[in-house]
Amino acid sequence: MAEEKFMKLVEYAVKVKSGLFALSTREFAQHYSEYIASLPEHLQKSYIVILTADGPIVVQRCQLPELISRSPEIAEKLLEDLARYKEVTEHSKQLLSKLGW
Amino acid sequence: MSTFVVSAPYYEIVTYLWCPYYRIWWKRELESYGTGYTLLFADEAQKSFVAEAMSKPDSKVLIGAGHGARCIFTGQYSRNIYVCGETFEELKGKCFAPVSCHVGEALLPDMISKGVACGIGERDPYYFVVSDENPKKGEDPRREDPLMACFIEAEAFYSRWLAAGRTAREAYDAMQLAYALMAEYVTYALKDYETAYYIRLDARNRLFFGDGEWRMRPKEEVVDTTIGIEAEGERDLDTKVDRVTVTVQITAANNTKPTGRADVLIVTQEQDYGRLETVEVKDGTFTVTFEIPLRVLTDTVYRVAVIYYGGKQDEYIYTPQIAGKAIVVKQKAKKTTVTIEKAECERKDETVMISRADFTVTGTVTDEDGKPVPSGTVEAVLEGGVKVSGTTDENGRFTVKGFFYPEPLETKRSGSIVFRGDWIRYAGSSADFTLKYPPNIKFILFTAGAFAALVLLILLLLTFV
Repeated sequence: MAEEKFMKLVEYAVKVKSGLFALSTREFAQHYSEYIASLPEHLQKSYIVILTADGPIVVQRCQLPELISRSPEIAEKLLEDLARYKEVTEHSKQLLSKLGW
Repeated sequence: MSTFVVSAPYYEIVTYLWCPYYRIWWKRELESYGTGYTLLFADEAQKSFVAEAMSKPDSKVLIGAGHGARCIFTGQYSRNIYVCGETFEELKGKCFAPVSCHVGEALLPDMISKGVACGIGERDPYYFVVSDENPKKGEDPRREDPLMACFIEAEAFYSRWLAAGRTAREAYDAMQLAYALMAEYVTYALKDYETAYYIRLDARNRLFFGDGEWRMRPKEEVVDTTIGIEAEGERDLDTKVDRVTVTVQITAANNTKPTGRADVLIVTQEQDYGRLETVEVKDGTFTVTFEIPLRVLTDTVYRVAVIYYGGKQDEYIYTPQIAGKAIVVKQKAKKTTVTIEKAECERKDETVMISRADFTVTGTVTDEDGKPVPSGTVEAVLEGGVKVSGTTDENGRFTVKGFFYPEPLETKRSGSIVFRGDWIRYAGSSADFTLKYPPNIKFILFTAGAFAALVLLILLLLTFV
């Protein structure tokens, strides 16, 4: 369930970055809320540290949607990173293939 | 003695989160390889102290944490330590590898062009995820906060591999592999897909610069090791577990018996399972057995990674290694066969238009050895959505009874008996049958009579007209 919701976030990010969608921070925050709601409680409460030019931001994961709504810069950064999903996971798979996995 | 210099600022969330690791665990770890450890903590994590410490000939690697930009690496209170354009005199021929955003963009390439031997640096800013648990004093913090620890652990690989005599490139490759392994652990053991992704993302953003053959200590000081893995798995249907036994043999180039510590990671996508075990290595061998609760009835691929940390034992320093293996545990569910002995149907006309068909299907379910399969569920599924279920007795026999309302002129209907078994000992199977019955006689007689009367009426009307 959580994995499916996370993959929906990735799908949204890829579409925004490829120009198929315009970025709507409200919609992105909504997708993020759905993903977070699908997580076990202890993961909803874990902290995320995001480093920005103005210094680090520390929020609980469940507060991320609100942060995304308030800050287009954070939304943009999260989207950019999620949109790299394919490239990043491929890199990881290549590393693991060295182990015969 | 080759020494690490650790710059550990301590003034806001990001820097102080790292400090327990540097002060307690990492220090102990790196010293166990016979290297020195100079910690510059809090107000000491500033330019003058770093420069003084790195000027010493034994100081070979700068690690630690700080903030950074394209051309800046900072320490306590974000004060600059190194900036593009300097000469980096005290770093010449040495390794620069603290954790800091962006320094891989311009600062590190500038350093390398001016004589710094090698280093690693982030291309982008990074995230990390922490739980609200704090490491307890004296304990291995990796066990206290697994989310933060996975991030830290990947970082620790680089310096640990250098301390144990591997080249800078080998240390970087081990770090990259550690990131990928930790991401698998977070995915399957902690079910935290987002954190796993950030760990992979960070690996992708961390780049190596400079001389890959650079070493912190001479090669002659270390004894090369190799890992041999034997792994076998069996499916225990009585306890409903897969039992995977991993036997590891670590051999040393000088025929001595390495000791020390190793981690064994096992993950499986099919069962959505992951576990990490730390073991003590004695005389170069150890065995670990994992019992994985069965969740699905399929062949299951288990991926095992063994990380041997090497280290100093007596007069030897053994090199660390990572090796892996994938093994398949076959499902053991027996194939089954449904044999239908009788499929009967009796039609009773309830009114002129409606009739009811009562049916009985009997048969047996046997396994691939021809033995009866008791206590299994069978379901008769008929065309039109009719479903009736039953169970097999101790002889594997079943009788399923039900009814339906056929169309007036309908004379047969197809169906299947579907056997579901107990999902773990017996695989499912099915067999088809056809129910045959006469059409609704009352409806035919009534329809024929009504038609004849209509024809007679028409003839009479024509006669009188």
